[in-house]
Amino acid sequence: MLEINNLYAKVEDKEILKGLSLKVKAGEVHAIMGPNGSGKSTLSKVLAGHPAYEVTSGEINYEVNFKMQSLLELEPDVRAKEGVFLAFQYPVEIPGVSNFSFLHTAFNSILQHQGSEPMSEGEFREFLYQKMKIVQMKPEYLERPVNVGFSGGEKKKNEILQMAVLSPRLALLDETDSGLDIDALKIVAEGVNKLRSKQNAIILITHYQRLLDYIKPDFVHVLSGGKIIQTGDASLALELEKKGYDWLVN
Amino acid sequence: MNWENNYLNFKNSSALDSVKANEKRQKSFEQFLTLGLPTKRDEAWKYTSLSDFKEIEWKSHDEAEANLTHEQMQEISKQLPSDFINFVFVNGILNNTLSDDADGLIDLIELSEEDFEFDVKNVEDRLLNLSQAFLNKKINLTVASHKFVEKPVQVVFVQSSKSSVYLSEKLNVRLAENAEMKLIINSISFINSTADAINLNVNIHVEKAARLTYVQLQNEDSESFHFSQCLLELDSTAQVQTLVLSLGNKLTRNYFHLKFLGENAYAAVYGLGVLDGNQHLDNYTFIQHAIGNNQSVQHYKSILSGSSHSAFRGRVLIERDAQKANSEQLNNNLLLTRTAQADSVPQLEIYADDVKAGHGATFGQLDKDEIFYFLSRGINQYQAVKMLSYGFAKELIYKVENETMQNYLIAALNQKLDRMVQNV
Repeated sequence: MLEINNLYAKVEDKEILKGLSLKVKAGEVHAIMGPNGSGKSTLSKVLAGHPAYEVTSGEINYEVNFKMQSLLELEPDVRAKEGVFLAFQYPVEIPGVSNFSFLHTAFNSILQHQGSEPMSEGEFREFLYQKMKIVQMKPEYLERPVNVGFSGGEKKKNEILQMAVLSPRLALLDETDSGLDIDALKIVAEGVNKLRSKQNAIILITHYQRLLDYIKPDFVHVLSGGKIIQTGDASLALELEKKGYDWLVN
Repeated sequence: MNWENNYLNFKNSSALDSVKANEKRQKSFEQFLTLGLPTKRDEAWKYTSLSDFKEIEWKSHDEAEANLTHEQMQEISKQLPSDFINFVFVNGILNNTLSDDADGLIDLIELSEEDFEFDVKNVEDRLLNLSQAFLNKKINLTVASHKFVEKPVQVVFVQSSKSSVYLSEKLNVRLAENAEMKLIINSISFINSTADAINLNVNIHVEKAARLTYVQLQNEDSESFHFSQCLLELDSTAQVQTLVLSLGNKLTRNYFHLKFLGENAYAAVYGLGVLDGNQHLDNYTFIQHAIGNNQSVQHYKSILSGSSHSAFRGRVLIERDAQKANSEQLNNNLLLTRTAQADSVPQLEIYADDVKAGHGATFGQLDKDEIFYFLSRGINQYQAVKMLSYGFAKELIYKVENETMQNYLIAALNQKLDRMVQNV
């Protein structure tokens, strides 16, 4: 589904990714761990198409209509319509735009891209209430401006709600677990596990083994100095928890 | 431009019965010739140039051209909601087909000598001279004491001529004690017609305990010039809420003077401009606390794209004896392009010592990370800018406490935003 080959990327003239390669197949869950500044967040921003991040060489291929295509050729909103979803580490606040109309517009944009009829407000509201139960979010959050006045945990739950509504094929979770108490973490993990299927792939970017107690990854990668230096199964995360990163980095 | 010929034609075709009124109109025109139009050298007109207006070969409106084509009738009908009471004036003439039954609300009256003003202290005196020189009647809108006009009243001014027509209009509104009304003034010109101009003079008196909602919708085509001078006077315990929604027009200048004549009155004054291309909007407000124990709130916003320009000057005068006056002023500007420009001038003149008066202005752009958040959810750039702009604008529309009017204004706003984002 996703193939990254020898990727170099920079932000504000600072090279962050230096030859990163990664293959992700449908149905897989990958965890990417690594020390601060290793390029984890840069990878997620590059995949989602943030304009501040520039790819200088290498390629990213992504499956669209059963064919591998260059992801970098697609505009960020088209990537989203093709099933790429980034759960932000720091979701922004959007004053003046209600959570409901934001989600409704996003959902219908994707439907329209797929050639389907848009869903009416009433139908969408019913659909949304079901999804909100997954993240235990109260209906009144729909009328509030996107993320405005939300606590850190509520913002992360809102990201998972968006993911549940838009049901992406490739979900990137950028430190979604950071700053969450254990109850919120369980809710987030449950939301992610509900999305898990043979058709979808998930990339979890995380600092901590803790999240992986609730979402079992198929692969664990260690990112350091802008490339992947070690790949293993779930046991690698446990080993990192005990020993830290130094034994791999040096 | 030959205003003299125009004036002669107008004077001959629209002679007034009163000799003295004719003389005063003559005087207005002579003053206009002597003083001319305002220029940027006038402090009050610092941000707005009338050089484009001066270059056009204006013709005074011709009542003979007040007949509309079938298509034009249909186009206007779309802007006449059935849950409004509508009065449509085409080139100054009341169109009976499009208008509702007057029901004692509205009257057209020939001007008398008392209708002419020569107040040199008014910063808009030169536009008033021009306005009065080309007037022969006024529209009186009166709501009797204790009468509650349930449906919103809409007065529509249509300019339909093919040539470049300059049109003066004068509207007097009076709400007697305890009366209540919601009023929209809407001006329409037809797209693809040549330049046109309206010079609108509105006098409103809200008597004791009366309540008025007053909206000016300015949504003419891209070659239109729109000037308005509005004087709104409030007696004690009167309440008014005003909104000027400026969407169309090449150039718009609004002078809005609100004066408290009695105590415990409340005025909320709002303005929203959404501009693109080379549009220019100048709002000059003058809130006069001539007497104490009154509250005024002003909130103006503009959304600017292309090379558009908006200016807001908020003059607040709290006179010596106007103790316990309370006045707030806020101006927020959202600039969508680097070439757009916004100017904001608070002008507080406070001569009483026990008052509250505040003001603030902001100038901002859309946040790149906010836009990216929309994109990352599959919402394209246009839609993102539209939703963010709408989010910025909507609070002022929702200040109008009437759902029918809100829906009407939101539809106009959304149409404009759709046009605007295609060009950002």
